[in-house]
Amino acid sequence: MTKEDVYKRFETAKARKHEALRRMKERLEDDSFCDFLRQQSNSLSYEEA
Amino acid sequence: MKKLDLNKINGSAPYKIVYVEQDSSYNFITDSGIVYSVMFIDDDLVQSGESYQFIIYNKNNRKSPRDKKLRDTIATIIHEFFQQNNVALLYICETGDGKQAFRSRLFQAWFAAWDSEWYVCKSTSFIDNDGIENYVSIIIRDDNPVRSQIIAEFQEALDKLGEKP
Repeated sequence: MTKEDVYKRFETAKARKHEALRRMKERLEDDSFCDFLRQQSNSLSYEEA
Repeated sequence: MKKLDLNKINGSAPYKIVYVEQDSSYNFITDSGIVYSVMFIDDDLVQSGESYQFIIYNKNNRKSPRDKKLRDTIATIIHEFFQQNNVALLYICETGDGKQAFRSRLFQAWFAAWDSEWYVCKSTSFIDNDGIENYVSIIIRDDNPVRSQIIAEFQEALDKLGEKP
């Protein structure tokens, strides 16, 4: 395994991470989804869990 | 990657998890109103065994100081991930805002508080060609049949990344 190989793999890993984060950000910009999460969280208390 | 059992997660996670099929993410909101999204994606930094990358996103970009429910919720998701998948899991700290050292410390503190005798965690850092310090952790189950090879390959890879050009 050469340094170049590892560097390429690491850069690929970071690029995949950034792409996943971009998709997450895009989805969470939708306020209705966050409202849905809020409603869901109200249906279960810590004690119940 | 085998799908996680959402009922099992919600049976013990302090925060209620909502799974989104569209991007295979696990989402929740904390008591202080911070929205988190968690995802596992394919990874091939380590090739001695199957590996994935753990991604966590804090929508509000606010800290959750001493929120044990947050720590325990993440632990429950990761524990279920390892129940279903005896693979390696990498966490690469985001460097865009310069807070990677904080993220690494937090991740290690969370790991230390988990039921960690079932897992091996190795964390390391290196300075890349742009002079940026990168923090990377790997977690594997203690009974992973290729545990030693994965750890050795991870260390070798990170040592190479840290070599001066």
